[in-house]
Amino acid sequence: MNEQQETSTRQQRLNEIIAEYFAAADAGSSPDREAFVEQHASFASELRQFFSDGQLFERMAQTLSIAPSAAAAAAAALNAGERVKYFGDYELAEELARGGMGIVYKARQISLNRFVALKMILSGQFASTSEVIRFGTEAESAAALDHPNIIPIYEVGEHHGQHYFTMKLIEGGNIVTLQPCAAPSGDSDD
Amino acid sequence: MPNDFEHYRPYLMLLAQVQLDPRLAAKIDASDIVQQTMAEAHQTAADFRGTSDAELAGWLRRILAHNLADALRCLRRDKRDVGRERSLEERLSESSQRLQHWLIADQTSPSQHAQRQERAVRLAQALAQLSAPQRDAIVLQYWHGWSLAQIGQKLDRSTAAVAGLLRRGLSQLRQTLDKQGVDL
Repeated sequence: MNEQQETSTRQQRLNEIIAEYFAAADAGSSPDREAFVEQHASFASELRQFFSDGQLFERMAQTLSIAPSAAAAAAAALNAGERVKYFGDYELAEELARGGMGIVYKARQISLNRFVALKMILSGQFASTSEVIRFGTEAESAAALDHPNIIPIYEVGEHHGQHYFTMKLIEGGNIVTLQPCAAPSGDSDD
Repeated sequence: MPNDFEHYRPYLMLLAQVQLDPRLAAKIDASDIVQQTMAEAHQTAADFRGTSDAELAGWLRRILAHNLADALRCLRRDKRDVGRERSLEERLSESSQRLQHWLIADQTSPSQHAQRQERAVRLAQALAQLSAPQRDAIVLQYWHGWSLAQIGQKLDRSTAAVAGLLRRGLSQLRQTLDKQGVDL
């Protein structure tokens, strides 16, 4: 057996050992790394290198701020509605819709004890000036309209740098489902 | 500043891959969404008022998130119209939830995590230099929690071969980041 063959056989065996490690971890036995390395003493330095590369990657990967378990946990919490968020005089009950510029929540106005629809600019404190102006214009023009078929605006304001306005809450259908969808990208001919 | 958009392409690509359930890959192409995001960024560059890299990345991230949300919404709608495919419906709703959490986290965490973000951008660039199978194996294993057997099925490789992809991929990542002088 020449040196190259030996190397590739050795790497093949190393890969199998690493696969065993993952299989054990997936099976829920969460193997002790050091014990695992000792079990495969002839590959100790390669395995240590692999674990060390993996740890380094995980540290870097955390900067993406979407730790898999955290994301799942937060989604579960959101769904269960366990979190109550307060926003000034409003208690945010649930998210109703999300558009290009803002999020609309169903919220309870605490002082008046009524439910309203509260829209806030999506980008929060980091909204650019033009975004804030556009948001304000939308609220103003909606407030200027008075018609039974147009949803009335209650309040326009700012809370901790977050711009928002509230309007009458219309329960029932979701107008989002009436919006057209772009054709799937695969079908476009550009 | 608009010329810097390209700098963030690998970062946006990684975010899209992490956000989308890989089993939706046949229906939603992450690179299409990123391409669309870059095009919109160029078109609306005048709207961007920030000055820092962190603000620029945050702005691009928001455009990406909206495009992902739109794609998911349309897919869900199509499914409702065309007939029910339960598992797909579940995957879509899971992807939407991830996205929702991500948007909320993005909104509430201040942009002073500039250094953290720069590291994420560097990581994405280093990942982009790997071979596609190595990168896929890492993304599927770490962010999507797939077993080596599942990854092997998708990539048409044995579990040992997948372990090899992970081992060599992670090793090359370390070397790339090392060479760039990223403080590990």
